[in-house]
Parts: sequence; structure tokens; C-alpha cells
Amino acid sequence: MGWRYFTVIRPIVSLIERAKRNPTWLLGILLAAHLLLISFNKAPGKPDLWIFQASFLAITSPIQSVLSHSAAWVKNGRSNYFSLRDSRMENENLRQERTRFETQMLDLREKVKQLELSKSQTDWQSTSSYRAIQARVVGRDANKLFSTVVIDKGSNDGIQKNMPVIASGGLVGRVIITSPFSSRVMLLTDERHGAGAVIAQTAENRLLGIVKGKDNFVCELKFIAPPDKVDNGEQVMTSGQDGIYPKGLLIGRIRKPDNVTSVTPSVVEVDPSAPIGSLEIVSVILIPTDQLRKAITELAEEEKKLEPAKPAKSTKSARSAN
Amino acid sequence: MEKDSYGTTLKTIICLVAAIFVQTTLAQLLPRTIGTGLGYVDWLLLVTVYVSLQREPVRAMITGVFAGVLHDFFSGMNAMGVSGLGYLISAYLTYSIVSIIVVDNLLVRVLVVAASSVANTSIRLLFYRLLGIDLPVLAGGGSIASTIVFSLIANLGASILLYLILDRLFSKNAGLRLRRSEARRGDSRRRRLW
Repeated sequence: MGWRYFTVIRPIVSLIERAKRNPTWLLGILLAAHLLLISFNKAPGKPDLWIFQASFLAITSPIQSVLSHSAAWVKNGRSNYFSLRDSRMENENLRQERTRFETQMLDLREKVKQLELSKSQTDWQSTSSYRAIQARVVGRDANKLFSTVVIDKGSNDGIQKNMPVIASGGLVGRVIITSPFSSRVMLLTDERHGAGAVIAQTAENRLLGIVKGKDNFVCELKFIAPPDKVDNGEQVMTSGQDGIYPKGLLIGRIRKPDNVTSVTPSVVEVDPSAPIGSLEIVSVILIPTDQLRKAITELAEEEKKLEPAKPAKSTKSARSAN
Repeated sequence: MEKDSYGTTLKTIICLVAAIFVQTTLAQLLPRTIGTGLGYVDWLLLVTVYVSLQREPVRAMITGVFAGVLHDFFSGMNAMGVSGLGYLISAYLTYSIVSIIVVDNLLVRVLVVAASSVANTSIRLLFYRLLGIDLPVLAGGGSIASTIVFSLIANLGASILLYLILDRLFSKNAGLRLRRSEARRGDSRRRRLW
């Protein structure tokens, strides 16, 4: 009974005794040993691999695949997250840039429009003998009954009451109130407004009348002597006889009624040539009212001298001409 | 008793060596007609089954493992462990049958040899198939079935002759082992009852 008995023989004997009592236990061990031995055969179709290796690969490869995919998913997810975050920031920057560009574009459009308007005003000024000053429309009348606008130029810029105001298309109205830095302009569509007008059909045949304001940005022309025929679309211009507006300013055109080519009434509607509804930049003609009214005033003074008994009446008639 | 065990082990080893010798040479020495028939006989299996008939489970399974090792060693190590697995299961199957049917007669022997032969051949062919070993017998179900049947017939025929010889060789211990087996069964029954 040496150490060999306890270390080698005794466990074997114990194993055999146990196997004798329960042979199934030994069968299990031997079956496992045989399956392990079989696993060391070459795998079918893979001459360089044992079955053990192939089985190990077959078992571990799905796990590895899952782990690899999980790692890739996490990595991609992290990458996607940062990409998404960057994209979000980039998107925000792009939006801001787009907004900035849109604003710039609107600003540029506005400038182009203003330049066009200025050009048209300048063109008019270059062909006219009158000096004019450009002004921006900064306000409109809140009351619908009155058609007035406020411009950003006033008496400090040389603007006086009753000075004519024009836009790119034609006559706009006249200044009614001035302040040092702004003025209020009565539009020719205002019902209180009146201007001497003429339809220049021919050099010999000139129809005189008075253009007064009407609602909905429309004016009406009341003839002094009703004509036989008035063609639609004929130009209506200032006559220069009212002491306010100089002669030859375009007021508008005779409105063409539906299905009618010509009309012969005593009153016709006139479409203003100036864009009354969308005024932005206007020009104030710096023509002293006194200059226009000089002849009227002188005539009134002469009448006053000739008829000293009726001074009040002649003054009243001169006012009514205005 | 211990001396008797060693003697039985030695006889088993000799039988196994003789069986592998016969299995590897006999078919070549005999004429082709007889040799082809004898080629289906699995002598190692017959020895293993005979040892298992002695109702010694450990010895039976060890014999099966040893027979498998010999078979693999002398068959070119084409499918290591497959023969051993077949012999091991055959040994256990035989032991299971004879532990239930205590009687030791020719009918029981035929039964266990038939069962072992079918199990051994089936397991081998199954594992050969799984391992992708290209054998003509694995070409189809018909050839597999015919192989199993031919093996069964050959083993049954050979076992009758072989077991007569082995009976004479192992006769001294046969009665003793039968009594031990009965005693073991009775002991296990008592354990289950308790």
C-alpha cells in the first residue's frame, strides 16, 4: 500500500466499483469519449479541418457573428448618432443660411425695384423742366374715407403745401400738410381732390374737364363741355389751369367699360396711371405754388382794382377756381 | 476470484486479437464465394457480445472500447471512434437485454446477436455518412438495408460456431457470473423498493 495505491489504483478501483453499480454512468463517459474521438476525424468537405474544429467553428461562428454584428451595430449607431447630430447642426446652419439668403434676395429685389422706380423718376425728371425730390411713402391713411399718404420728406427738404406729387406712372396727388421731416399727400383718388384735366385727342380738339377722386382707386372726369365722342383708353393729362398742377402731367386713361368701344357721357371714369394702391417712392415737384398761381393772383388783383365795390366776390371766385 | 478475473481479461484480450486477425485475413485466404460471405461477419462484435453475455457490464463496455480501438487501428484510421462507439452501444445493449432476460440459451443469444449486429452496422453506416466517407454501401437505402441484413445473417451464422468455441473457453465462470447477475438485480430491486 504505497502512495501509488492512493493516487492511481484506488481511484480506478473506485471508478470500476461505481460503474459496476451503475453501468449507465460508465456508458455515458465512454460515449462522450468516443464522440470526442470521432470529432477528431476530418470534417466532411473540409479536409483541413477536424470535426471538432468544424463543430467548434459551427457553434462559435453564430455567436461571433452576433457579437460582431452587435459591436458593428453599436459602432454604427454611435457613428450614426454623431452623424445625425452633425447633420442636425448642419441642417440648422443651412436653414439659417437659407433664411439669410432669402432675406438678401428680398433685399436685392427691393433694391432692384427701388432702382427701377428711381430710374423712372429720374427719366421723368430728365425730360421735365421741373426740379423734383424723391420721397419714400412711409404711411397711409387709416381712414378709408380719405386717401392720403405720408412721405418722409418735409419742409426742411423744400416741400411746400400744394406741391404736385408724381410717381413713375403719372400724377399721384398734392401735398396738403408739411412738417419739417414729413408731409401728407392727398391722392388724386381722394373725393376731396380736384385737378384741371384735358383730353388731348388732337391738337385742335382738346376736351377740358375736372378730374375728381372716387372710391376704389378710380377717378372721374367731369367735362366742362360734353364731347360728341370719347374713345376708351384716351390719355387724361393736367391742363395746368387749376393753379396747382403744371400742364402736361399724365393723370390716367379713360376707363373702358365692358363691351363698349366708345362712350359719350358728361362724366367718365379715369384709371390713374400711377400705381396708387402700391406707392412706395414718389417725387415731389418742387414748383412754387405762387408761380403757378401768379397769373390767377395777378388777374384777381386787377379785378380788384377795376371793381373796388365787389372785392369780396372776386376773391371768392378765385378761391373756387382752386 | 481475482485470479479468475485476470484470466478472463486475458482470455478476452486473446479473443479480441484472434478476432481482428481473422477479420483482416480470413476473407482473403478463403475462396471468393465464401470469403465474400464471411466478409460480412464482424468477429470483434461477436466477441464483444459474448463478453457482454457474461453479465459483467464494465468488462463488456471495456471490451467494446478495446475492440473498437483494434478495429480502427487495423482499418487505416479512417473513422476513429466510430467502431468503438458501435461496439460500446452493442455491448451495453446486450448487457441490457441479458440483465432483463436472465435465461442464457440459444434463443437469447440469437436475439442479442441480431440486435447488436443491426445496431452496430446501423451506427457505423450512420457515422460514415455523417463523416462524409464515400462508401459504395452508402449509395442508397437499398444497399444500406442489404448490408444490414447480410451482416445480420452472417453474424448470426458465425456466432453459432464461435460461441461454441468461446463457451468452452469461458465455461468455468459462466455459472458464477449468472448467479452474481441475479444477486445484483435483486439488490437493485431492493434499493428501488426502499
